[in-house]
Amino acid sequence: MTGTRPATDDLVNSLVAQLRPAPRQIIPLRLAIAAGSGGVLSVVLLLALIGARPDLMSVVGSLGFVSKAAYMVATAGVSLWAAARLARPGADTRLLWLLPVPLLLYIPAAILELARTDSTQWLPMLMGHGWQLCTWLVLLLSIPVFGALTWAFSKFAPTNVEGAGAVAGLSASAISSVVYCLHCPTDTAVFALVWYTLAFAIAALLGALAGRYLLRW
Amino acid sequence: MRFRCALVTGGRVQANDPLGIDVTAREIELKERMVRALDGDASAYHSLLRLLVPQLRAFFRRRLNSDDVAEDLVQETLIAVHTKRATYDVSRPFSAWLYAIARYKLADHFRRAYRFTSTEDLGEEIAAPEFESASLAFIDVERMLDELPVKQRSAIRATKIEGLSVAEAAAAAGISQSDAKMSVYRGLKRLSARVQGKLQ
Repeated sequence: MTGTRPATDDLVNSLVAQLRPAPRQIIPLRLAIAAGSGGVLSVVLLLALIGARPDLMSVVGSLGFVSKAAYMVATAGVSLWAAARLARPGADTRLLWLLPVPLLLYIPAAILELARTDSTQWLPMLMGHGWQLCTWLVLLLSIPVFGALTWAFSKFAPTNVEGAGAVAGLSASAISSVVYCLHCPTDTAVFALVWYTLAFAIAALLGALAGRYLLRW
Repeated sequence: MRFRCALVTGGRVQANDPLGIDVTAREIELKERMVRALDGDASAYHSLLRLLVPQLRAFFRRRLNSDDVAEDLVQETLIAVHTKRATYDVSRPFSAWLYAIARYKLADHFRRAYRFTSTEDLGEEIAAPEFESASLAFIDVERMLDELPVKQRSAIRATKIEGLSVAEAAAAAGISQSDAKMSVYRGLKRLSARVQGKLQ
């Protein structure tokens, strides 16, 4: 084995000279800042473009609204947690199967809802008041959140950039779908299950593709 | 092919340490220095990096033909260890974190190496008549190798195509040297029998 070369020696010395105490907990901290500021931007964008639904105050406590919002909050939470995992090199990724748990819990709610209504109502329930727009608006509103999460990841070290991009896309769309609840006039579970989940899937796919370029280090 | 091979063998790094050091003792030693370095202890950090250099050098040299390229990757990895040090979770093994970074840098190197073969250069290569016959020959070799038993196939691939020594090939496959040598011999014999059978 040859001795350490001068260039590598110099590098080691300069890195040692640059050493500062490293901040602890930067991963949860930066993810929280990104999710919060991205969410606020998303709300501003929603209010500027389409405004909140006029009956918001009267439905906030209803079962349909709460269960819909709970599905999205749970998806946002579990995907941010997964993002925190994928932010570290050599992290344990065995628990990533938890990602679809909110979806699996929400499917029975949609089935129950369908079972309790007349089948002639099924199509209107699925189509709601705005199925054409819902998916695309969620995706549009997720852009500022995804941007903020990309900023958060700039200090992280994801060794699986596609996976990290996918969970970042999923987190961004889940957060923006919570924001979109302020506007979305349809509270049926089957509507949310189909069109919001479609938005999540598209966002995760786009995030994986973008991750290849944006999350390299 | 070499790329895939490098990634596959990457997983075993911690089990058979490249420098033959007691892996558990080394892990404790490295981790203790890393934890102090995260708090800003420069002497612990210096001693950590000095320990990492030969370890990373062995890792990259084992996977690359060029010592210069290996040294570049050692340096890139050291810089990544420095700039990304806050992503190390002190409750987890240090070596897992370190080698995940080293493997990422290695994969990144191969990705760049392939991308920087510009398409114009490739155009000439593709147009050249040798390219076609060489590609066809390669495909033939692959097809014939696939007919061999796994052990003979991988022994031939490692020694005759990837250019490893018998000792290295034996270590990579986890078999003895005489076993590897015998596999190459039997495999080649069988291949030449097949070729002659085809020609007749």
